[in-house]
Amino acid sequence: MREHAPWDAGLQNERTGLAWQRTMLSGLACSLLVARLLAPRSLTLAVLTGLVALLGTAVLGTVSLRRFRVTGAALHGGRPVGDGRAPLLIAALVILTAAGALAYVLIA
Amino acid sequence: MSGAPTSKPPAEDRRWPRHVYGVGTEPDPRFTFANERTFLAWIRTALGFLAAGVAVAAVARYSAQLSVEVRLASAVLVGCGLACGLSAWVRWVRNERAMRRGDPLPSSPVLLVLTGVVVAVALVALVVVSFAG
Repeated sequence: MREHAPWDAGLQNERTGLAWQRTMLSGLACSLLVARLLAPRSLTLAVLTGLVALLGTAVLGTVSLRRFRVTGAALHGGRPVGDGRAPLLIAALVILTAAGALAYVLIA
Repeated sequence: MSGAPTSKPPAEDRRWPRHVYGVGTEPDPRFTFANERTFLAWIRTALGFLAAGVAVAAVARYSAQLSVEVRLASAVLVGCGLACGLSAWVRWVRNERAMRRGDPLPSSPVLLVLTGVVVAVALVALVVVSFAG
């Protein structure tokens, strides 16, 4: 339970964890919107997009929970924090979503 | 409050990318967190642009085939989303590097371009809404 105790009065790790959560939920809302728009054209594609969105959100949720725990433990242990892998993953997902959105806009 | 600077990174520092974590000294962890939250805010901005672009195309499709203007407007919004997503990562890397090296935080022309595009799209939307129906 040590890593769940706040490290500072500014609750840096907790606030950053919440920022991950709302980003994740924005991504889910965005993907489900796209899935809903695809439904009249192809139900299969819509269901597939929805499933991928749910799966992606589950993966990101796990990643962000892990990030929160690892960072909390690092703070309490006096070790340096930060890593670029999770940000790169989320940036790559957004760029992939943008490619899908561009395809929809140009082909629809 | 134990906000004292953390100790030097241990020898087996596995953080990635190395061209960020291999330079300079450890900044105050609070600044690292702030940089991460700013990155995430840019990601949400990117998602907002993407949703707006897709929504414009989807709403226009209810009444007619997509005209060139609608397609262009949607593509511009989605393009902004793409730019936000890419620059979110680039800004995160540049800010983190600058903080580690003690350099001033870099600025980016993306801000000006995005502001210009948002204002332009808002003006077009205002005209369209004012003269519709």
